[in-house]
Amino acid sequence: MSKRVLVACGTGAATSTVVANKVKDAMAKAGIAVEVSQCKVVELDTAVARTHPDVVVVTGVLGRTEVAGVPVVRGFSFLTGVGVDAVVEELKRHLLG
Amino acid sequence: MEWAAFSDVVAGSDTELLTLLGTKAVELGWAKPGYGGALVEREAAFPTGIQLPTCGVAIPHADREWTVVPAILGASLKEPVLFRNMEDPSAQVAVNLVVLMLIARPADHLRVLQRLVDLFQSGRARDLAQNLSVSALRDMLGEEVEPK
Repeated sequence: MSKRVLVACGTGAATSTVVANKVKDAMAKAGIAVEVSQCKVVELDTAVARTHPDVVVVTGVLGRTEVAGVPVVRGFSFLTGVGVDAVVEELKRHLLG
Repeated sequence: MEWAAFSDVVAGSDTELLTLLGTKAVELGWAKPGYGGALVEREAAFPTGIQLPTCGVAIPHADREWTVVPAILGASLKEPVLFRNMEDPSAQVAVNLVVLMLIARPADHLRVLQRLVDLFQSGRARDLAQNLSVSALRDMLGEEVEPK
């Protein structure tokens, strides 16, 4: 069964789409099947309640480490490439753990 | 898709720079009057400063309703200008290169952003900042962003 990842950015548009694609690619490379959905940061709580993700990826600083028990990972690295390996490992840990 | 490049731009703040570039875009006929103000407002709500290992980049934009002609305007700065950090708005980034996107369709926004991310990850953003030209912008961000 696929794991579910929810990606949130400020406007829920282009930035989160780019990050969502990067997450899909990285997880495919790791052999983990994921379904990725997107939302705006301001809609995060309702989106988590609706989609029941296994992990949340945010493009900014959220100031929360979890949303309704779902772990939050900072994913800005997917845009710059800086430190992205550590973020991928963190995602794998949450999705496989 | 239109392209413009401005080298060694002098500006004292992000607001001054966005107003300047917004005015250029309006003068070129690529954006509606008031675009500069829209850029400033959008940047205040959703900052776009990005810290890369070798330079700072900002990728400002406004809603696509402001676009008359899709275009990309690049600006390299004579001295870095402080922008707020896209990832952490409480922090600042000393920006050397600005890539302003005038986009008419969400799909184009996505394509340009994907090319920008490729540029960031290639480590060539600093080269672009130091040797900015329309042809360099086109080479790195591609012409096919808006197929006819």
